[in-house]
Amino acid sequence: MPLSLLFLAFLAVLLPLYFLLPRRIQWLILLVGSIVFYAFSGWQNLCVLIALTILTYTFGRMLGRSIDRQNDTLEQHRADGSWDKPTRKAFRDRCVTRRKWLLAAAVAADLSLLIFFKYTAFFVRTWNDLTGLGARVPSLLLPLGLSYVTFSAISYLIDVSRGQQSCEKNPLRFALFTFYFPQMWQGPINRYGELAPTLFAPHSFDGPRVIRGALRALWGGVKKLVIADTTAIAVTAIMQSPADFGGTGVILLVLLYSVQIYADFTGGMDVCLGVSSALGIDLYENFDRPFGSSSLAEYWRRWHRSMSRFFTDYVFYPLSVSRFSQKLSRLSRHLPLWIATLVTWALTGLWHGAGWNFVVWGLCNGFFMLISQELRPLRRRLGERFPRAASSRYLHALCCVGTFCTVGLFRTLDVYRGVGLTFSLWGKLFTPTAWEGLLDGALWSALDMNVAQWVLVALGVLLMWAVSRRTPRVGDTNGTSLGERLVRRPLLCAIVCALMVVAIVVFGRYGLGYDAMDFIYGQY
Amino acid sequence: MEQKIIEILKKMHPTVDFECEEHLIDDGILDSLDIVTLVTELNAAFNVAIPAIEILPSNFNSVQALVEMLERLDDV
Repeated sequence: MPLSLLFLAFLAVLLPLYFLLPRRIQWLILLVGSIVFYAFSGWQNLCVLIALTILTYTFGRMLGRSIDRQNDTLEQHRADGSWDKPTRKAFRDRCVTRRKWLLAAAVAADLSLLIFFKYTAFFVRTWNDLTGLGARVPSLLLPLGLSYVTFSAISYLIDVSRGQQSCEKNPLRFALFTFYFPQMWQGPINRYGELAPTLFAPHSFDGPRVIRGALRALWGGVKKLVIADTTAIAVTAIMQSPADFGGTGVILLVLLYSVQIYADFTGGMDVCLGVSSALGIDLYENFDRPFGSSSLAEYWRRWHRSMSRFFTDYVFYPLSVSRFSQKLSRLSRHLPLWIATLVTWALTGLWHGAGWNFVVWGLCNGFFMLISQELRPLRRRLGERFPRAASSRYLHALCCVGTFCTVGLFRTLDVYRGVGLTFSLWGKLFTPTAWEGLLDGALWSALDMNVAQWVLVALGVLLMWAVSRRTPRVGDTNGTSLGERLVRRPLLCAIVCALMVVAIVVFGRYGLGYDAMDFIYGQY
Repeated sequence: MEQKIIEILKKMHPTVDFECEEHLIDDGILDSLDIVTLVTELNAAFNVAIPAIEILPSNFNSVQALVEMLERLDDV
């Protein structure tokens, strides 16, 4: 829906109402609009999201009340001196333990919805594989955005239970946090404390801001409909006949699928963030030039940042500093790190998709990062021995290329789906035929793309690279975005807008059979 | 306490000037893997249990911030 005429019509109604009606009810208009938008995806989905909202709101209130009671009691006894320090500590520990159980129940309740819709079929398939029984595999459709909204809701619950966020008392305001429509396709995974101030603040009409938002959304449309979907033709051809392409297919996928997923995901995010920005609401930036990363750990700090942040803060740290992990550290200081990293990455993989290929993909990332971490002392020694080479720009570029290839190689698990098949094709990379295949004309024609489409993809990649280079890094407050520069030059801005619309209309792949779920990350 | 923390940090990154550095997290000097190692070392050295809730950039950005966090954990 984000790239459909229906969505444009929805915005055409919402935007005037949002800016023309009194500002104190703007958030209510947004709430009604978001519910109407979500209702288009089906009333069953609407019921699921309402259930998630009620559950999270209720548990949030209970956790908030628990924190207030604890603080009031401690304050009272500290003031009258009736409790000494150990008694206060014991009381606080009891409250924290009770809250942990309440939080566990809350998270389990939220996750149960996601698990039911996303993982039931996976569990049944695994059960059938293990037992040889032929239990019917249910076909359940994942409600739009449920993965992202559930994680946003869980982050709210954890922050409230930690006392880092006060609970929201108004159920309608909380409902806007879960229903806010731009986050439904591909996130980002929002934090209440970051989103609420901008979500509920009054926003007056700001022409240049609306134009900047529209420019970003249009650019997102070009990336998705023109670049990603054209590249998808070749990727689909390889995916459908992996054996025909052999090891050459892996090499091509490392390049082509990287282009597709980058254009697809960042394009979708540009549409979401652009639309939200036009409303005056800034969402979390999910990307920070990820392909400029010189290590896998850095890449994951710059790609899908809201997801990485969620898993780091709410899974990795709690796991790695838990009492159990600290006990394990007596055996080896590295053990908590290894266990926490691998569990976090297995869960990250499972979040990406209900399949063993995703779990293996996550574990590959985790293992690679751990090995890299363990090699750090060696790298340091080499750096001290060869300081010029260590700080060389060429070495940095080589590391960036290596990171790109590693990420791309792991992602082939996403395309081929079968773990055994993927590993056997990776093995073929070490045969000369895999590389000779790159010169085989018949193989290139089997990719189903004509010369014009290859040129389109190549130009698209160059354009994405150029735009990315001119986009300030996240946190760089001095940089000026391309959108800001264009808005200052109205004629050029109009030409760029027109060109993007023409590119989408002429080269975009759209029409019957296309919907928002076609976003790769929309399926996660 | 301060010297002990610096000693632990120096073992992880010998070339960093931890006495002066005030943006260990913001500048990417310590990554998440470093933080876990640091928490394990601090727990062992000061007989504390740093909970996950305390793992915030503001608590790990400098040696002074680490000292303040450890002192706060001992207080109710």
